[in-house]
Amino acid sequence: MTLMVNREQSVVISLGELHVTKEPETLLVCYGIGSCIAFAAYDPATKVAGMAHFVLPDSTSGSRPKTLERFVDAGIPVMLDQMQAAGAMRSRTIFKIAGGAHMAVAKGFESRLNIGERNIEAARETMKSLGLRLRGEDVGGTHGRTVRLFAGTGALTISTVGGSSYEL
Amino acid sequence: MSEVQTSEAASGAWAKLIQKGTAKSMENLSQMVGQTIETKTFSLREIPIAQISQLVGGPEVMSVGIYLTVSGSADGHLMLIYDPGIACAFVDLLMMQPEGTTTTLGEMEQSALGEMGNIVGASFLNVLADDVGMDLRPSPPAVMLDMAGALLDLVAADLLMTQDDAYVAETTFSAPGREITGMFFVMPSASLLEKLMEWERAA
Repeated sequence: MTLMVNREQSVVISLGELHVTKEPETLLVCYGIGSCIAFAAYDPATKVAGMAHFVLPDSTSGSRPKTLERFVDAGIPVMLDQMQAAGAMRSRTIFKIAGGAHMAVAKGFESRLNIGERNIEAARETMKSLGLRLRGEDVGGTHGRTVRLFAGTGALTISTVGGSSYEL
Repeated sequence: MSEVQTSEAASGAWAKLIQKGTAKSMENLSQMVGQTIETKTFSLREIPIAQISQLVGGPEVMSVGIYLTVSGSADGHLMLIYDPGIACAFVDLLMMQPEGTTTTLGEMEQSALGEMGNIVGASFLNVLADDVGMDLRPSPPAVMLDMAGALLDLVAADLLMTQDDAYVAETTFSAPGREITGMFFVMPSASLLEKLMEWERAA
């Protein structure tokens, strides 16, 4: 009998946080994402991996933000800088996003709280403005997601309620 | 599960008013379900917004959320949160069915839970509106079944636009003799909090 040992060290990325690692045994996790966006990046050559848990689309509206990492438009450049500092090459890096769900499907919630869709659009627009492209998306819908990025391989898996789990 | 960082429990007239509002909600919920609903605990604390889902047990915990936003003179968020099995038990109570009848939450069951949200939300807001003299209106309820983190993302997104920490009033309640417990969260936005503080200073 072979004993399987889970050697991964989980790093939980909470709302408005991001984490970049070069440790192949690290597992980056965003638990229970609804309207938020999990932004994952992986450079297969250097095995630098990063994931962010963005909450809001736009850092320029509302009061002055304290932390850029909570905004899609401002957080993506911060993450790219950290990836580069860790040795990743931007042109080689694979970018994927997940989340952006429309959780509250009820009369009266259509426009005010459609933050998920705005987050998705902000991610696409920000990437476009930086001349980068998203290689994978699992976005929208009305369900939550748990997103895991395995730093050793770059595999990005998504789990939803009901037990379905798949690789993006 | 990481521990939630909380401040000292809030006190003062505005905290008592929130408590009075939740007590009224539980009283009206009791009338609605025809069963005594007892408040077990009440706390009003300031916590980092990113940690709100820890109050439910963590962001991946399957939960049923009955969510209402508050608008009018000020904004805020109200959410009843149940374990899915408990939500089914509540539906049985609301629909006067034997315990264990409801096993899934279809359209009719969600509608019953939404009605519960209406009663609890309106009861709470009426107390605040009457005592403070504000115009506070609840939205129609949204009933959601998903991971707690996903349910609370909407609240977090709204509150994080203006603040890092938020006051969360957490009421736990139960129905004696029935396996029914739940949580009622009141999360005022900065604008509602300011109105409550103003009212307290003027009192």
